[in-house]
Amino acid sequence: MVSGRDERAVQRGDGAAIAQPTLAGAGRDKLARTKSPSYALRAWRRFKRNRLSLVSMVIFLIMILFSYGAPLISKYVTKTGFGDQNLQATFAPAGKTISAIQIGGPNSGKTVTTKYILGADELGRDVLTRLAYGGRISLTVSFLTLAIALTVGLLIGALAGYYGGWVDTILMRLVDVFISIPGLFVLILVSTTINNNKLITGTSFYRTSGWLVLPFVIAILSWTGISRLIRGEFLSLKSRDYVEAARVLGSTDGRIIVRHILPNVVPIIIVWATLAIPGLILTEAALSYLSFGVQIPTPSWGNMLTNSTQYFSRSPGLVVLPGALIFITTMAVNLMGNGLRDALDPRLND
Amino acid sequence: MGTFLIRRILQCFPLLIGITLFVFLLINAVPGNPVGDLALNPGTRPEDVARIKAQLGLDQPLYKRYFIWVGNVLRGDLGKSMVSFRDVRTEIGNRLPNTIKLTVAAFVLSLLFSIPIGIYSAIKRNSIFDYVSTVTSVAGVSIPNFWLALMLILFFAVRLRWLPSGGTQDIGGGGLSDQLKHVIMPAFALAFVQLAGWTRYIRGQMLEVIRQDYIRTARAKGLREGVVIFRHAFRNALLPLVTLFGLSIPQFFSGALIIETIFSWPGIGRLTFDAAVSRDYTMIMGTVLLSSTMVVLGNLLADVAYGLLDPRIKQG
Repeated sequence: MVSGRDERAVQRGDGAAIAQPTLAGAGRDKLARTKSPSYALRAWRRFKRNRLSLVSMVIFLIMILFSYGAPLISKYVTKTGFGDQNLQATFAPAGKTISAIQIGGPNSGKTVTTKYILGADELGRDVLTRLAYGGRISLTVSFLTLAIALTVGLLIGALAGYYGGWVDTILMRLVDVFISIPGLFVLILVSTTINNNKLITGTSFYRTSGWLVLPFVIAILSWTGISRLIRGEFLSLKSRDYVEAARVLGSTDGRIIVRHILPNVVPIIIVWATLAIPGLILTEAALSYLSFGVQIPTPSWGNMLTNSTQYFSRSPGLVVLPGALIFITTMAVNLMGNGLRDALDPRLND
Repeated sequence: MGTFLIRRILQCFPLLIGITLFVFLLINAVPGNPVGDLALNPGTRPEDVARIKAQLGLDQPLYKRYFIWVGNVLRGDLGKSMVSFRDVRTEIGNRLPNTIKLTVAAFVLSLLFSIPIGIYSAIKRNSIFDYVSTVTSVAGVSIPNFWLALMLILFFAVRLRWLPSGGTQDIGGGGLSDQLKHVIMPAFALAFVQLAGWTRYIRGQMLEVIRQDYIRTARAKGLREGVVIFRHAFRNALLPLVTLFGLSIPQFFSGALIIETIFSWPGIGRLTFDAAVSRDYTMIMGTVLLSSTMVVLGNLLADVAYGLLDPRIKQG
């Protein structure tokens, strides 16, 4: 019987799925000599076939370039910093050029002309510059959260799945607890306790880069998904023959986990990580919007919305733009992740 | 069914204990305490600090404080607000009906849209409708719900002036149409994410079920397509949905927190937000505990419903 996945592969004209039977008979020794394309290459070929995912990936890359190119944008395109206020330019509409005498700073007393490509906010700060810097913070927070959540989730999932028994029971009950508490409630609670703890807020580290605390806060709730997934995979992989063989050869548990089982779950980790990014971006944005995340004056896509809502009727663009960037980014990553899942799924037989 | 029910109910207890431990440790095990700030004041005498500590019960060891707190919670005493000094339980009790109203409205909206759209996309697989609904679903899970809420306000309240931008009813109002007018926007903003996820899930389930042999048999018998889809296919696709509904409860609560804040909806989400802003720890502990307990109970209910609906579990 043709399974659903094979069927899909055939429908999409997957060459490999059709060609396989003919290879079985003819030129077997020839096949042995020609190097078959690597797993990554085959996955990339499958991924390329999905136009929507490919376009999404390009959009996501553009967003990354835009965000991490923030200093360049600030220096060469908008020629203002993300914190530069100009009270003569408050609520400047998009595309407006305003000349103003600078007070303070290196150009004090000189007339500086600024073109506000996407307008200016309530303090006359350039929106485009802030969007780029905001994106940099939002994406960095999400990536860091992902790294922390992956490390914790992998460790816990691997331990639970590999050792089973009471280790598994305790760790998985722990996961159940974390899943049962509505996310934002806990995040707000944790954020409040941290941001009001004198021992933490008193440090110079907190004052200069307090937003770096945020990834750790969000990660508290983000590791559960991957740990469950990894546990399931380890559970099924640990009794495979090749693992048994490694054990017979005297490999230690650590070596079996890292060298023999882990490489087999890499595709799953990649797919999960990609599909987790949108959620993390949304969580950061929601927390920052509620003013429990990235604190002003550091801009993030989320906290740019917080103040703007007061000027709804006056300057709707201030509300529309940051949210639209969040939306575009998360949508692109989601679509890209879907494509990746189809391309990397190890059970897709080709 | 009896043993299944008992085992399932017993499973809730370690979970609830874990939740209380987590919430308690979060507030109490972090270094520094409310009295610590006070002690920084040079005018405070050490004996005053000791007295206040004793009053708040902070002189007791951590584990003792936990048991005292849990004992109080079990007796229904959630403590007093650190800001308004009102009873946390009464405050929550006043707000809870509003959150339930909003969540139920969102739940109904999600069902009303996701089921027909999901089924139709599955039947008309790879059609334009299916394509549009799939892309909309991805958009639905990608859109920041607070931004969606703001856009709805911008469009329907600020531009068109059709709907009120917040509150549960007009002053002096309170009729059914007035209440509906107030609930529709927050409910939709809250429902949209779930709706998108459910639609995709229902579509997937239906596709899975439609491929089964008994559907082919039903068609071969000459049954009308409507009967095949609803009586034979959807009934079976519905089963895993019950679990999904249970799993969606935490998301509804998290969503309610932000949506209630935006729409000035006086529910427990808004209460939590205000409490967090004013650092009202007892209040937050109360709302976190309540919402988590409701999640646990909701999941229990979903599992029991699954057991009742699926005869295979009833026998086993």
